[in-house]
Amino acid sequence: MGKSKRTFVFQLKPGTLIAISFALIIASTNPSMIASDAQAQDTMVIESVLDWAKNIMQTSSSEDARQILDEWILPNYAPSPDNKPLDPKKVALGKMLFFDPRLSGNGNMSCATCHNPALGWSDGFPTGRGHEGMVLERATPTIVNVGFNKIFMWDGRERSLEDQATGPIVNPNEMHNTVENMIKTLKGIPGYVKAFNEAFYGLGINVSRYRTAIAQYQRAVVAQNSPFDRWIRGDASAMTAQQVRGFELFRDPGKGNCMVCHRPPNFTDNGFHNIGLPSFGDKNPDLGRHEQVQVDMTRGAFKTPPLRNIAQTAPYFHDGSAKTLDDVIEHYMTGGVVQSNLSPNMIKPNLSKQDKQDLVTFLEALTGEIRPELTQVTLPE
Amino acid sequence: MKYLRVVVMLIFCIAPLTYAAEEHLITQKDLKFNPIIKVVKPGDSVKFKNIDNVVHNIVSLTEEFEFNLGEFKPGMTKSVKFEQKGVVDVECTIHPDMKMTIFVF
Repeated sequence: MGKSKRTFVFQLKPGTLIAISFALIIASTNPSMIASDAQAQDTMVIESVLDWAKNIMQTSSSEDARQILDEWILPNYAPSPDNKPLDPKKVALGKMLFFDPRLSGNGNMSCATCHNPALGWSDGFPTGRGHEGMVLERATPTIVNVGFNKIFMWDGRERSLEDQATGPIVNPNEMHNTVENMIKTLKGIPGYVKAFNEAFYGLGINVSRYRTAIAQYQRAVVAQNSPFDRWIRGDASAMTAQQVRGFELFRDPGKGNCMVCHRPPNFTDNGFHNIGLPSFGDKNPDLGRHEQVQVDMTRGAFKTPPLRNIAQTAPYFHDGSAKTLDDVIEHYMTGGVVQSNLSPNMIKPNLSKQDKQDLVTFLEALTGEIRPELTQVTLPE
Repeated sequence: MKYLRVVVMLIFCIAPLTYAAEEHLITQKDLKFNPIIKVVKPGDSVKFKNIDNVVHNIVSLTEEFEFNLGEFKPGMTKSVKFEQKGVVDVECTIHPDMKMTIFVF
């Protein structure tokens, strides 16, 4: 013994830890206090969420209204392929693997380098930074609530979190390793041998178990109890009147029309759309989904990103071309800069300046809390 | 006995000719096909009807059964005829979680 365990520290600037602490403080702040402050300035207070739903759905039935609201409630846990609950030992192992730079070829890059909890589990860059700082082609998506997705990566090339788990490891532009070398490294660390055996009934380390552990950890990264979540459960004070107005605009096909693709509870349709970004007009544009499915409709189409915790994951779009949520809305207001092969579901919104502000405040109401213990990790020796 | 044999043979010969091709309805609603499995006979048609509030793009990429219904807007219907036996995978390319299978037998 005598060896002290290695405590995980991000391979980022020293200020990162301060940023993490700040983010955790923000996450643990009671959002209802924020809501209450804003609400005091608003004269219109939504008295009953159920009445709101009845009005919006044009129904007099409380049961029908409740049913709609229930469909928008996010489950507490992301579903596993085998429908079994998450195993805490596998989640704990997956957490160590997620934060461990020894999984990369050069030993200096972990999953968390790009999916950084202090940066909304993304990286803050327009497009990702890979091996030796290489600028990647697409933005790093957040992994918040990723377990609710049904298809993975911007172009949908992976069907499960387990399938996806080795992709960045072996990508020469990302973690620049091989599966064989990664497994060899893990087998050389007694702490991992012990952790795998404890999580997998003494079966030891292999790539399949690595995939399972990483996937289980990612399924645990769920943002819960956002103002929207509490509001939809019936706490009328959880969202400000402005945020409720923003939600109405969000769902109204004649106004924001956002919900045609960003469908609750995780605010995605798990679909692929070409939204007419300027970059699709480039000489050799990124064709997105078309690389996987060669039909006209998929040309320049990218996966609809979920909007949970979206206020923390700027910049936006697959090419990182929108710096703020305001920029995102302004893009949609154009009805698509490049019109060729535009998604037929994309309709130019009809929003006033006030509407746009309301919409942004609603998007901020989608910021939920993530359990702090999911980012507290000690790497094994 | 001789006549009975002739009658039976005639029935076997004529029966396929007298089979009236059917049209089967498959709807799209809430990003799902309904039904998700359909058994039809060669010569039958399947009528796709979009009763959803979003545009779909219904295709089959199964070899020898390829079709693409293009922009399939809410309220639209389109039919596809299946002439030969086989298993046809159908999906929406916009919402790839929408899948169904047509058995032509």
